[in-house]
Amino acid sequence: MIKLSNVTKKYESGNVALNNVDLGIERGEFVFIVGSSGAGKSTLMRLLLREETPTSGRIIVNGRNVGEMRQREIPYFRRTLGVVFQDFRLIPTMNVYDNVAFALRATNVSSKDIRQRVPYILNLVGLQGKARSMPENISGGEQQRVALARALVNNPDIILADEPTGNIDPELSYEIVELLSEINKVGTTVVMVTHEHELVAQFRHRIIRIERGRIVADTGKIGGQRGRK
Amino acid sequence: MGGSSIGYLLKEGGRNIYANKQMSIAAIGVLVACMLLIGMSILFSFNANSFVGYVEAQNEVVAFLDDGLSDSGIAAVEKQIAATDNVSSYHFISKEEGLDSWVASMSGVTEDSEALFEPLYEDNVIPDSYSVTIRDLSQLEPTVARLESISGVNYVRAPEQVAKTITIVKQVVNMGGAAIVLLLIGVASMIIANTIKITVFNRRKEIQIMKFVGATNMFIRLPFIVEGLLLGLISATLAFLLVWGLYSGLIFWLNGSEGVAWFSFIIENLVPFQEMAAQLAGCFVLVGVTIGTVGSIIFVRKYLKV
Repeated sequence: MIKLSNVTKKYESGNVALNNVDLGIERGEFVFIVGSSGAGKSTLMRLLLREETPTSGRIIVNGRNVGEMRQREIPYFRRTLGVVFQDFRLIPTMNVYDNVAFALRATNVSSKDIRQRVPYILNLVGLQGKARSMPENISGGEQQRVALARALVNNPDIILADEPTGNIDPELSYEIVELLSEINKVGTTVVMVTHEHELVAQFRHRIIRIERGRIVADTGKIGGQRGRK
Repeated sequence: MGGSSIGYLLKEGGRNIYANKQMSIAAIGVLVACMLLIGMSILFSFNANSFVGYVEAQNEVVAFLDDGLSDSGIAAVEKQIAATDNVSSYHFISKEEGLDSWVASMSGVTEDSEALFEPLYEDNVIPDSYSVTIRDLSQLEPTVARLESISGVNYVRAPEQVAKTITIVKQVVNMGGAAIVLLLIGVASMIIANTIKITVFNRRKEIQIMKFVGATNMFIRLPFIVEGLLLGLISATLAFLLVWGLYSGLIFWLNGSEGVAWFSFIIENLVPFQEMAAQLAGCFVLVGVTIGTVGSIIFVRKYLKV
């Protein structure tokens, strides 16, 4: 599903964010990417999203070579991914329903399908009663669930979550990861970047540690959920 | 693109304008102000041209004929005057009419002018002539030369100095008007470009989110373009109505003013708004829509590279 071979990313400043990284993630896996800040986690996410291209090496995501992708292919590639960010990135002028529907409109889904899928997804993330609320009027945890609903609504093959719990309290963080785990159970691959070790320890998922641009530890594929400590 | 997509774009464009009320009002305000200035320059230019045109129409060239020219000779001259380029109208002035009008112009010079001029009627030295009005005064000299070359025409008296002045005034009005309008369009473009730049900058995150959910560049750009277009149209309509109101108000005020001589000349020669309305509306819509749309295209592009 995701394969990195000898991937190096060197920025113009001379900073080497990733150094000769090899990594494979199978379909249906749930992977935590951990590491201290500046380790290269976010660069890895940007490369997977095709926000950046690698300086050398090969990145295959969903069977596509990300580095050699043409500009006009990028939107169609991103439709196979669901992205969640630390700062939620909701559109402040749209209500919850429209923030989710927006991802479908952007991919030319018919109005009829939008009317069916958005309530279903909002129900899935427990926000059925908040459809008409504006982002500023709901809590951080709820905002992140809206972002998650937006990432899910296109039925992506992979969810890329970049510090999705960074801006919410621990109780709600657990719920978010639990929700991601539920999504993972139905076959969606989940890659989640985090630096919250305690949270990671509560789940039985594969953990990859990156430090100074290199993978320094990988637990390998682990099944099931550890449950709360 | 289906009907629902067009509906979505229009709805999005309208929603964006409403959601970003402050920036929209600022953009409309700036556009309207610029278009008001442009509109006033256009109206001034139109009216200045009309006044100059009026003065131009008062010109008169007199072609004096050879003394004692026969009726058939006069008819031949008339035929050739009629065939001369740049002649808009002409009429024959006989010796007698010529003298009458000269005497009339002299009346009041002395108390007993009738007695003084009596001998002139016995031996009328004023020749037959044609009064000719010229269409384009800038071509006065070659036209006069052609009239002088007509056999039977003795000499031609032309207001050359007046013609030169009018031609220069006309050029200044036309070129000055065009330069002012172009300058204002340039200034308006820069101000609007900046306003759109700020609008787009304020919403760069929104654009980024669109990119991450897999929206194509065209999908992202279109609502902004529609927004720019709608802002342009709204501003054009407001500016048009304002210019109309101001111009009508000016005419109303001038009509109500006490009759100073040059005032009545101005009022008589003011171009009715209806005659300029189509050009003005066309110019406003063109300026508003072009600046709104092109500005959006250029500045959204900057944030599409994600």
